[in-house]
Amino acid sequence: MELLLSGFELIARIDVLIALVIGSVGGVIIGSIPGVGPAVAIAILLPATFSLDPIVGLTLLLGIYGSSMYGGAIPAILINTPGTAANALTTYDGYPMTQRGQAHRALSLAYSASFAGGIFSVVCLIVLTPVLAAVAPLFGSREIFLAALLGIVLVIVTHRGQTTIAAFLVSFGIFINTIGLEPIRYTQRFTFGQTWLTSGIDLIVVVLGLFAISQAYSLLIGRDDSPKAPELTGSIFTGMGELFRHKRVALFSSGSGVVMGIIPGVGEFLAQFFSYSYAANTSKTPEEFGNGSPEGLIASEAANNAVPGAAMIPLLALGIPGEALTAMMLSVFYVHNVVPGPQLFESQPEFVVALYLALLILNVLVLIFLSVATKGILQVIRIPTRFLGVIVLTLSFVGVYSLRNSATDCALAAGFGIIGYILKRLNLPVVPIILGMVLGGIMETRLRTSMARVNSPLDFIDRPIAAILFGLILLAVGLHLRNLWRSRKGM
Amino acid sequence: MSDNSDSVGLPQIQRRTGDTVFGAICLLGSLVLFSQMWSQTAWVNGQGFAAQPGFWPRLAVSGMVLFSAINLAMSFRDPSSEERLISLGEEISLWLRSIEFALWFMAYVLITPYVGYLPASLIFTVALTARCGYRSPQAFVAAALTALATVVLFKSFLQVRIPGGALYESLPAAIRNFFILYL
Repeated sequence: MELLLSGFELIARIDVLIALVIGSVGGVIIGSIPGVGPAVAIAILLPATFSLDPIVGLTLLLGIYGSSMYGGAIPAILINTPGTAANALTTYDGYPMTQRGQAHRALSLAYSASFAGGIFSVVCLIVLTPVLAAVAPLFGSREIFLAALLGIVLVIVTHRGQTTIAAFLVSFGIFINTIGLEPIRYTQRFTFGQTWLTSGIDLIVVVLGLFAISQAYSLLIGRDDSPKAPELTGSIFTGMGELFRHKRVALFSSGSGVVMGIIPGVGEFLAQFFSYSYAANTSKTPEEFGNGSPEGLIASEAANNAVPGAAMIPLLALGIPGEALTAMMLSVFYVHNVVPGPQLFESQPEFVVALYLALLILNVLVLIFLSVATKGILQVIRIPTRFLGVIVLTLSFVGVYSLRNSATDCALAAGFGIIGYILKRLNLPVVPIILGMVLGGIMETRLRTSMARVNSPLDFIDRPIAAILFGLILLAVGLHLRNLWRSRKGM
Repeated sequence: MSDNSDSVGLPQIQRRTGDTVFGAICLLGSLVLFSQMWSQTAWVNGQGFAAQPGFWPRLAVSGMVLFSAINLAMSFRDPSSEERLISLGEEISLWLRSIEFALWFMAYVLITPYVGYLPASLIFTVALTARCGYRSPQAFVAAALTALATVVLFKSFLQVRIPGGALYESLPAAIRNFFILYL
């Protein structure tokens, strides 16, 4: 209780509350614009948060992260275009409901399911805090190395049908992270005698290039479009009570969102497919799925909104980001010398609790905002695509240039933008590059530290958590190989 | 989990036009890096592999060569790669079109230290809006307002580090500091 009050004291400040409001409202608006999404917004805002207090900066980014999927459901339901990738399944049942003249019902179901998922994950975080605080110190260098390796393995094997290119992109990310002056012996690595490469390639430059600038190119080059959303009339909360009739689906989906969010490299996409499958397989009306099923809508939205809270668990407890957005947040921690990981729970538990409380409050703020502003948000959806590209490119400039006022950084970001654009065109993932960069750096440091105390390979896994993590890595690889073998046999 | 996912139709990943070309570029780039691996990284005698400065870059580049080679080989034999929505030439011309916008971006970057953040943003947004085909007065006003809002939000309020332009030095002393600090 004392910890809870200390956490509350940390966020009961005007600057934190303003950041929370701006983050929540901004996240909903950004999420509702197809083609922008939270990754672009967070990438752009990241350097601006460096001058803020860590709790203020993180609250702002958390606000965007946690609220964008609420907004993403709006275009998914009204114009059959998901605002964020995590809202893809919402179109399956949300849009058919709109076509039947039930846009209100669909939106209110999506909002209430999202709220349920968001709150459920925060409650899990709070309940799990004592467990995490007890378990986190058991993670030494080798356990953190193995957890990062597990993240790498999972991000590769979860890209089904694209595992080899995902493995290539992870390797590319690890490679980018090694460029520059090596920090222990000060030897040059792949600098080719160029002084501008000596300090390495900044993660934020790569993130902005791959997410924001590539998206700007995509919008500027693509077909110009100005989506037309249907008019909304009446109250937006007409279908709220319906969630309680499908509480089993809401609970399971929120739970699966939490589990998938905790596992590094998995995230919203698999969480919603898993929940949607469960809902479809256990429903009394499976034929409605894909044709406007309320259960389908609840499954998708509750699952994807439960992920952001849960994704903070590996980040805060181990310092290991599970996906691109938490990888970006990791850089905010580092800039302020707040090192997430086992020590954070021991030295600054109130900081962790404050972040949980911020997540809790933002869910309430978003619901209040949506109750009054949904009709206004429809105007944002109508921004023409290419003009949106102009806006994103203008904002990307701030993100990159304000880092070090370096034209070289901007040129690198523009180059990564081209790579990101080609990857988008080919339907290939960019997240493995980011996770390769972040997790590669963690693995290098941790392996170096842990090998100093290891005499034989078996010593590396002689502690229980290390053995469990190693077992999970083997299991993930084994299941992937089994699936490959089965699909080959099927052919 | 995978079985369940399949039951709702987890999207099948289709190879797209240009996949083989991209695969070949990846392999070629990886091989170039591989050929430079020994000269661009150090290997210290008497140290374990984990403490070697060259271990991680060499591991990463080797992984890039291995996986890009497998990916390229698979792109040749995957039947779905035969399904062509647009021609290879059209696809590659789209990739090349992104270079034009990269140059627009770099022009914005390069003029900012000279003309200042606000004027550079105004020029950039209005010119790019025109390039995108929007020619109405409303579009230009919207572009100018976008530039102004971005500058005010980031430089005036959030105080991001973007230095004043050289052009600001020629402004009257009364407003020079204001422009340098806030616009």
